Amino acid sequence: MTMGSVLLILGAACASIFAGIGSAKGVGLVGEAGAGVIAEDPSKFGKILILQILPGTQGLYGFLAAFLILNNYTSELSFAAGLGYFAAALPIAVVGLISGIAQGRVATAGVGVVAKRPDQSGKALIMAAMVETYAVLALLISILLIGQVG
Amino acid sequence: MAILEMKRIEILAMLANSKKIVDLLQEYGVVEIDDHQEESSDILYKVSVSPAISQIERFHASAESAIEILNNYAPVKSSMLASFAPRKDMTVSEFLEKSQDVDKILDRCSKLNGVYKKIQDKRIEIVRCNTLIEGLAPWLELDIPSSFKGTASTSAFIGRLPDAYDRESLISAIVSAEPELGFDVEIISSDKIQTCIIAICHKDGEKDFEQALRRLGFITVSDPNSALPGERMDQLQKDIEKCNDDIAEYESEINSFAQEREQIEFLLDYLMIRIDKYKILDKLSMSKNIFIVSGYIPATEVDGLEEKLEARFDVAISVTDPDFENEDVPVALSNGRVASTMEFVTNMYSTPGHDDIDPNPFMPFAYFNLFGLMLGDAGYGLLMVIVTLFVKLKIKPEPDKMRSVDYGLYCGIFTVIWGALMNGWFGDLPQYLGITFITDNHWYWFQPLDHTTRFLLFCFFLGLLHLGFGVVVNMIGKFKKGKILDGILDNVPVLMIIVGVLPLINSQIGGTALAETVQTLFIYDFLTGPAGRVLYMCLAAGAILVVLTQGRDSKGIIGKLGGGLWAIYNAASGYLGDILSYSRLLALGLCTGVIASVINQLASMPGNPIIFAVVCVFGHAVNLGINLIGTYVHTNRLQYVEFFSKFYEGGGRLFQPLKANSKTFKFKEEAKS
Repeated sequence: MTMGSVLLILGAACASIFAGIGSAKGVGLVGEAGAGVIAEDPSKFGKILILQILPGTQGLYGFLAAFLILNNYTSELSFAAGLGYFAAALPIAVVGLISGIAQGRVATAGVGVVAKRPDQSGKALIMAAMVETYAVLALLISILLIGQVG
Repeated sequence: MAILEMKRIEILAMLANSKKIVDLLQEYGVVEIDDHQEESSDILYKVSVSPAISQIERFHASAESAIEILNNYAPVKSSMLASFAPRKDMTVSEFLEKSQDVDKILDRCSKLNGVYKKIQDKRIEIVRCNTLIEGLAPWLELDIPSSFKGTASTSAFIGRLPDAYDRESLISAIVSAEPELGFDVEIISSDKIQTCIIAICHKDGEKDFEQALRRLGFITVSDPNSALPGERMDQLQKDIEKCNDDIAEYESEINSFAQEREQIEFLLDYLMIRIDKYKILDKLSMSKNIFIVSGYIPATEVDGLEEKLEARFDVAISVTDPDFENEDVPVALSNGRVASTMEFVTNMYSTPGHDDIDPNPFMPFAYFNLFGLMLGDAGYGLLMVIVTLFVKLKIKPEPDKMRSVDYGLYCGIFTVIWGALMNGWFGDLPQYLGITFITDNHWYWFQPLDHTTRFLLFCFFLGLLHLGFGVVVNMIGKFKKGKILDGILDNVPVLMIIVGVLPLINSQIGGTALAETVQTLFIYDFLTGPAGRVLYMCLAAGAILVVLTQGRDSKGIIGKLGGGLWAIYNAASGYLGDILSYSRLLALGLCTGVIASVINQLASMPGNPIIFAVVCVFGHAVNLGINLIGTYVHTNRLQYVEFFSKFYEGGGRLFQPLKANSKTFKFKEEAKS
């Protein structure tokens, strides 16, 4: 296996690791707050579940980028190409990490909306979805970069 | 079809008929009643019925807890789709007949609650016994009652010391404190944290001895009892058994209530209707002989209600136009079958204001397409179609719920279409099942994973169309308000820009990374041919027009020009952001497909058809669940943030007429012969 191939794997790993961490933290945050509300009112489970899943998409995006990178794996990849794939992984890795946590925090605040004004919970969803735009954009650039290297 | 015209209605009638008339209004369900205000209120007064309301609410709470108890002890088997089931029909005369039994049912409810209370008491009793048993455990070896205080000439101390002792160490500890005393101790039990003892001394030395013990931390038993610890333990255990028997008996008693569930459900509905009605009585104005009720009613319903009221009562009805400036007039929507599925999406954002354009008719086509593209898997779409069709045809929900079912159905249909275009059938499942005819015959448009750039540009293209449509709706809205000039000046230049940008995207689609299929489309030739040049000119002209028109409200030539330049900058940056936002179609679409493919791959690894089936079913269920939520939220977001921002303000209040808010029964009027 060449150094390039190792870099490619490293890139794929980074994409799924960091975006995964972001989502795990985000989903965890919402879950903690949500469990408190459900303890009071179990009927709000559905709405809170939707809020909780929202920060989970960054992990999926990281997974998607990792998958697309791994599709290009060969054991004789040049150093430059490997480095290219690694760089292509960076946008979704870094933005996925941070936006996952940020989205988790917005969604956690949204749990408060569900608790106090359940009729307005749609707005809480949308506010959390606003954060996701930047994860989408990062994923987009990652995908385009992967295409460029390949 | 859109926002209904709202009228203000005032009904004046004899006080004696007040309850009947409110009943009729509730049954008919078309009037939202507001607090009637009259300026000259010398004759008119209001009656507070809040004590009555809180009384009924207490009954309601009692019935509710009765149902909850039944749900716990005698649950009714119900499927996941049961919540879509329609309410049971009940005619008004049946309702009245059953209403006679309300007191009886209420009695039964409080009896049920009482039985449950007894169970709870018994449970607490069991906990108490268990605590006592735990406390008794170290004393089991004690062969005299723990309340024993001594004989005529001796004093006995029964209690516990902190720390562990054996007989020798304890005696030496006491002796070192009070060497003069005669005494004896016996260790009942000892563990790391405490030692239970009985100590005996002569009556004369009682005080000193007790002090010596206290210095070691001695505490007498907390619950001295004349029975032997072993006997007490047996007794307590018998008590617990008795409690358990009682609980079982009570539980079977609760089960005997199970067949009364329907009665209690009726009671809940009945009380809910009463509560709503009483809350209305609060809002009536009345004098000695008459009462006035006022509210809002959709113009289309006025005639029907008037007819009904006048047929049965002596009433004076006045219908006027509401004063939109000073009143909080509610907004009622009326849309066709497809457009009404969008109402809950719109209302989640904001109900249209009374002078807004109702966005619902403009939404469905784009909404379902975006949804379908974002989920983008025909297999998942088929599942949605099957489930929703099953609910629709088998369970036959009521109109309100039918809307959500229809919503799911339409989303499913478009998911099938877009999934088929993108060759997603549970990811690449057909390949694993040996079905190759789809791929062989190229029965799809393109595979998104192979053509990410094309997919992306296609998303932008759709975004541009969607935004352009929003601008058109804005224009329609302004025309409807009579602002023709504003409508044209604000929107036509933007539309020209949007149309002018199309060949730019098109040349990208055709130019670089794409297969020939698109290039053979006439649209490509059209847009890259002379038409393209016209469109580019259109773009330039649109930009100039924006600069020229958008500053028209500012003063002075510089202000106007500055306003125009600011507008073009805003338009450019705003629309750029909006269009980029549609890339979520690609992100979410790819996600669904790739995860589905990975599930298939994982499932096929062990090479066992049963494992394959199990992993596939489980994996695809989870994938569908997660992606449905993501798709739902992000499709809504595209509506709210990108589409609505072009024309929609909202801020209205939804029309909430007084009606029978029943859960279990649906009241029908009898056919009058």
